[in-house]
Amino acid sequence: MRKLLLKVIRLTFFCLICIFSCSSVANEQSLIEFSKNKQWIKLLHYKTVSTSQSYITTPDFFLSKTVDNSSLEELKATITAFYLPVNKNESNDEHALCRFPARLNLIQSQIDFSFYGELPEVECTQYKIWRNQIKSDSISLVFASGYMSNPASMHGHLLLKFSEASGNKSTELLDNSLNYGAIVPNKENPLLYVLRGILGSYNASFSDQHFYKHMHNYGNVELRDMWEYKLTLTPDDVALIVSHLWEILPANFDYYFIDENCAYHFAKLIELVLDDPIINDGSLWVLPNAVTTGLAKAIYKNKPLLEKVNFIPSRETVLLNYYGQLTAEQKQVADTIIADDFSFAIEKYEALDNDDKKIIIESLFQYINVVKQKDKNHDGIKANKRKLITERLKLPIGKAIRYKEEKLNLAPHLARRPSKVSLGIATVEESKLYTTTGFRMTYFDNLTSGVGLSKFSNLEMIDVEIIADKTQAKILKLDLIDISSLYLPAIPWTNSTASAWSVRAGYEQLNNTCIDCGIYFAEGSLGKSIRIGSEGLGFAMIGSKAFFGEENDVTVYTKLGFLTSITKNLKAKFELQKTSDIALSRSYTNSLSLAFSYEFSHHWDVRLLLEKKETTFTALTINYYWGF
Amino acid sequence: MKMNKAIISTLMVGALTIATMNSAAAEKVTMKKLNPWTDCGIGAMVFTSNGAAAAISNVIWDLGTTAVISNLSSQNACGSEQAKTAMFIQATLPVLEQEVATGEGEYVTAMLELRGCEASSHTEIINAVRKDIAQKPTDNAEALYNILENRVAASFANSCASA
Repeated sequence: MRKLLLKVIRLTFFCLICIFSCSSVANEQSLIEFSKNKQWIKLLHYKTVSTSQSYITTPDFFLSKTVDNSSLEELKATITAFYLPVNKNESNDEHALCRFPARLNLIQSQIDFSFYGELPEVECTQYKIWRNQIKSDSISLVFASGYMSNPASMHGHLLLKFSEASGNKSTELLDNSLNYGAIVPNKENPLLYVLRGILGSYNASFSDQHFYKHMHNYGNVELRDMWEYKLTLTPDDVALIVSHLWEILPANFDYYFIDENCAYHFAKLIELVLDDPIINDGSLWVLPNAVTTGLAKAIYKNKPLLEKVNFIPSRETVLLNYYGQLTAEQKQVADTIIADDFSFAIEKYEALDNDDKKIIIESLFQYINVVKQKDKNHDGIKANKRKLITERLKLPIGKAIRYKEEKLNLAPHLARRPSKVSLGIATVEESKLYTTTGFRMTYFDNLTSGVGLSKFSNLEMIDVEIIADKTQAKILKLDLIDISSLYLPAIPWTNSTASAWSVRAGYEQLNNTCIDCGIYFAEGSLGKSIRIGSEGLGFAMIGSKAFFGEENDVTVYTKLGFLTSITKNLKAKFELQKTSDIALSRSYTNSLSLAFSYEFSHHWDVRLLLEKKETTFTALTINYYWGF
Repeated sequence: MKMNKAIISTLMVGALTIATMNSAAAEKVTMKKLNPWTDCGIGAMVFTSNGAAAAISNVIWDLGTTAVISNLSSQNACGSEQAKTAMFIQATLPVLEQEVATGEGEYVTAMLELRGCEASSHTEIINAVRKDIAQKPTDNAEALYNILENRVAASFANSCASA
């Protein structure tokens, strides 16, 4: 064993001497030049071209055996490792030629090192098996819409998908896909989960799977719509990305929820074959939406990088779509079947022809799937589903209803940019005049155009407004989070109304009479909502608010509201709130607010706010929307 | 010299013995019908979010609940068509069983493609499977897999990958 080790060391030494001492100065020069090659730097996942610090934290990924060696040292170590004979005590798959196919491909394409001799012949069994499984004629980036049940997923999620050139819809489930995520211990404490995610104390890695697992998890279980961004990359560039995946699959990264997340690393992966970045390197935060925007703008080999966007509806979207296609009679028969505990011995049903029966059963399949996900404790789902299956088996094969494309599902890259700065003027009781300045980190509010976003929702993080006069400047409000979903559509046939919820926490002035009465708060509310016309929404909610600071207290409130689009560019929101006559809220038991937003370009809008909260506060602001 | 011969002979005998044992084992494996649920641990692997699964795979941040298992890059042990089909059925049963009842759909197509069945045989196979399920209803993934496997073995062996 020791002899063998000595032999390997001697051989390595010999190779090094051959490669770097005996080689000409010109060759050394070509190595130095290549070590600065953008693609080489990207293959090492260095944070910048000028530093040798990598996002990858696994030492084994670096053949120079440390994570902070220069790109030149890593290049020399890589070439040396390529020339090493196979270690008989190790599997061939451990050889550098098998572990780093993308490095080999890139180096060979740029440097002529044939005079170093022939590379050893190594049979890379594992790599070949894996590579043969990846259908890689094209690459898509898949955006899964925001998932409100998980704080890390509210902004959406990204994954990569590989398809065959002739890929058709029927086989897309078997496409290969790549996910990126933090490695989270089972049953992690939710608070710890958020904190550790933000502070970067999780490891993260890529994982490869068939697309059907994601399709099932996101679309069927979590009921999230997806958009597939198909890219125009050439087969050679797709091949380079795929072979690089093999290199990084065993590697770990640090995970930072804010910036070094799935969006960031997928952008970097695609940038491997692009001249210009998809997202700015200096981005302080990176959202999945920013990557889709970057893809839509990117130019690749003098043409758009983005070929097309496909919408992949969730199970709930399919249900609502099917429901919209049913006739009044079909809806009514389905309702009777549900009410009769999925019995089909119903005169009206039996009188229908086979096509109508099939349409009803297939719609009820969607219904029962959604009920199962939304109401985990619902009794009898399994038994009722068996009845549906049994009934469907009696009828001829073939689908009788299919998803009908809708214009509503606009892709996320069309949404307004997520960050905001604002300037404005404000008055209190029409006597005092103030200037206001504001900043919002992410993402959208319910006065934002709903294009590419969840309609009637609010998802804001770090939203601050400063108010100032000639003598002082104070924080008018600082929302750490302000999240609401005012329209969660009811499941068809359940005779329920849509529901609404909201959560908000931060710091604000207690009421409008002073700008010196700031207090910390956290509040939450639940309620019901109803669509009024095609663009309007009415809602009624009940909530509770806790105050912290010089005084600690709790109050409860109810509110009624109405949100609507008056024109394509003009939105309005009205809210009337009745707060209990207890605690700190005594000063404003009744309050009302009216807000208008007029969008005069994709990046700009102007807003007017009138708020009566003990005294009247009026503000006019102009807002600019941007993103990294 | 004698010593070297002895070593070589010992090695050869050893190698032959191991090779024989391996081929015997291989024969034994091929003789035994694969049960992916017990032989590959599919039931425990798919959608399990236990610590072991998290350790060997990657409980992704985005879901927090999804154990990413059976990665393509570590799929050799149970990489046969049957095992892949079983994994697919286990992972997608709620939608798949509806499509089987309907007799068509992308999940049905994907299942039969994974099983290595020619596209031209899909309709006939799913027709036959529907009839079997109508007579003997299934309520779990393993039961559906067994019906498919039995039907393939009995009537569609020439149209699908061999077991």
